[in-house]
Amino acid sequence: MNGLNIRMGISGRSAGSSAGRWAAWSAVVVLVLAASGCGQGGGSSGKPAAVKLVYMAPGFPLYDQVRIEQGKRFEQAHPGIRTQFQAVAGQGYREKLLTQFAGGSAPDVFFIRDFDLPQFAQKGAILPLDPLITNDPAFQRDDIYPQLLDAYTFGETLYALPGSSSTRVLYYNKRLFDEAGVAYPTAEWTWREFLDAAKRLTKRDERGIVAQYGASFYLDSADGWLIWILQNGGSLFDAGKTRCIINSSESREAIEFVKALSQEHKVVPGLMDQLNQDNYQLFLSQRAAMFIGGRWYTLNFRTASALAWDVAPLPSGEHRATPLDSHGWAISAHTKHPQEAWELVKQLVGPDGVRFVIEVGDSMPTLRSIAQSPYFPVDERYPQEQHNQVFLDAIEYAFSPKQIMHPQIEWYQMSSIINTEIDKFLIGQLSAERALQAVEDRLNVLIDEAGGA
Amino acid sequence: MRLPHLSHEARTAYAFLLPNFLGFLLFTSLPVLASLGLSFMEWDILTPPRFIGLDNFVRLLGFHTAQGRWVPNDPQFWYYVWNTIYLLVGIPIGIFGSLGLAIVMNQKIPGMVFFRTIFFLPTICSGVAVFLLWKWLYNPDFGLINTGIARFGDLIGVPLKGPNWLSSVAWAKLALVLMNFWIGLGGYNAVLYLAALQEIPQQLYEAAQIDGANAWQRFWTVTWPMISPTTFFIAIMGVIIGFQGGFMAAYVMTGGGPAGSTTTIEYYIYNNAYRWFQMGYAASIAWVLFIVVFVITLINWRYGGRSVHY
Repeated sequence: MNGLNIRMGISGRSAGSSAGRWAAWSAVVVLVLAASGCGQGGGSSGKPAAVKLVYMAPGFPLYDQVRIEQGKRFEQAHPGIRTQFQAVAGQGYREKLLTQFAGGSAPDVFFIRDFDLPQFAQKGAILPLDPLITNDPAFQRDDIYPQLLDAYTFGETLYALPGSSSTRVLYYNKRLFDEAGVAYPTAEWTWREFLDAAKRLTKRDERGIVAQYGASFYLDSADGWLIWILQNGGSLFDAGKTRCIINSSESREAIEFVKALSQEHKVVPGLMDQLNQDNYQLFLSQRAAMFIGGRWYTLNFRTASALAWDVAPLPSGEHRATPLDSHGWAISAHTKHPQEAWELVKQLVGPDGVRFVIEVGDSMPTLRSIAQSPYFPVDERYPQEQHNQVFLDAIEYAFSPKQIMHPQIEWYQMSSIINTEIDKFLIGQLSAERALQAVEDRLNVLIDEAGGA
Repeated sequence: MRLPHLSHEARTAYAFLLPNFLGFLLFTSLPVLASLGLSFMEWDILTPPRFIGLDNFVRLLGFHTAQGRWVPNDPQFWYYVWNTIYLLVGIPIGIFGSLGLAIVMNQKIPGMVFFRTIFFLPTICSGVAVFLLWKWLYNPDFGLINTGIARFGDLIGVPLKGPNWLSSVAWAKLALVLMNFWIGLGGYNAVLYLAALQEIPQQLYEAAQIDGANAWQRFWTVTWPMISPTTFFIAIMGVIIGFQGGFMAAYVMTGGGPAGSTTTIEYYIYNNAYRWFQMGYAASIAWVLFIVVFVITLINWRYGGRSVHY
């Protein structure tokens, strides 16, 4: 707008032969602007405008191909609809999505992490799926795992369908277990067996510097801590989610146990913040004998041909608990073509997509029909993956983000508070009691603020 | 209103400037003004912004009493301000490092052009790549630095063990200062110094030499005053950039931890804006930061300028 006014002003006061030159310059500027930013509209020329759907996901060459392929298949099945896939490379996906929403150019269909769903849903950014499902009797809603549907349901409304999902399990290095003469993990393992094995699997050099860790795992977001806290009978919020109640003896015992793993027994690497990003690489390079993670790590572990691994359920405390992670496909509330977008979502979460994410080692099945086929439990191309069923079995006691989150508190903010205060406990600034009290106080302030707004 | 007649050349010049000028208006000044507006609003990005007056600034800068003591409304912010200022200690160290390197690079040594390129390399490398590299170097168990320290300990017969560089509150900020020193050493500052050094007339050195000045005296009485405008520029820019820095290292290496000890103001702005759906609050922090940097720069101009010899 400003640019346009300036241009008009200047050309208005030019006279004579230079006016033509100014007009030419102005035309160039307008063309450049149109080509660079404002060319999104259009579609008015030629035959009646086809419906165009934009769908967006974090970019990753392996997945991009499949998503584009899914779009092509969709176009074949739905003449008159064109699709355009936007892959956002790198880590800026969420920023880009938010910016597009702010600018009113959100994609029709987009990939969304389970943790982000409550905020997007509550702020009216996502189209509720229930009316679309009601009008589509052919759609087999019951084929999707109910735990995943529940994870995407807020109030009574379903906001997304799962594209990939996994529980977290215990990966272990069979060779390192054999060398140390330790029996492989079983479903009966508790924290005690886990600690005993981790001690026997840790190797130190003569200086006491660790050459091989018993285990490694991530504690870079709150769900990692909640595995231990929930297993020990603790809880983040009360049943009605009116108060944070994390400062219980159960929670304190849990975080003391985890701290002791790294600082007293020294069987897992330092546990602060995102330094843990490297932890899967410790397992990959056979410098950690056990690793807690979801099935997406299989994708990486397959690349290490020398690595002989298997999976077992997470060791249990008083209870069993493991996170149920997932990514879903959602429809923007601002889409002009909700019905067509719904058809595209069905394609994206349908059997082809599910088979693909299983096959590459990224996900466990989100559809029960595929889980029960022999396709997932044993894939003969990957003979060492004999126990994929472990991922599926854990869904019975898995917790989704929805269950641990507070509906009014943004996940990363809550996670950042939990991490920062527990860090202070890990480095010895605060006792477990005072660290968890600080978490409680800060989260309760957020609950009060949200309630008062 | 009549505007002064512009020569043909001037008009051509403005025409060439126009795209840049338009770009600045559209993509810089408009967003900056918009962010000023947003700083008085509550905006979660997904729903329309709501005007809340000075609430953001009260929450950011205000204090309240709790148990008879004054407590900041946002204690995290003040901790992050402290972190940001702590990281500024790298600036003078970096300035002297760059100057020293520039003096070495200014010598007529064969192959120096090659080394200038090598030293400049970190500046043009992708920040993420450099930060990942340093993350590996700093790995407490398997990183090159701690392995080197342990080997050195073996040599002198003392069992040495390096610190937990990035995961200890005591070391993390220092580790970042050290890394930034390495990145910036041969970068733009050294190039600016190199240019400044080559501008110094040789007669001054000759005169000083005739007067009997030794190398040290020649440096402090000729070189240092002659390059003082460059030093001033580098220092001012360093402070401006330093106050707004720290995002990428926190994003890539530390997540702002442990216990928030590597979170800077910039990273806090990012977290509020894009992670916590508090764009309005983020905008208010950004404007407070701008005012702080602006005032400090004014003070620098007013008082720092006195030590500059033109």
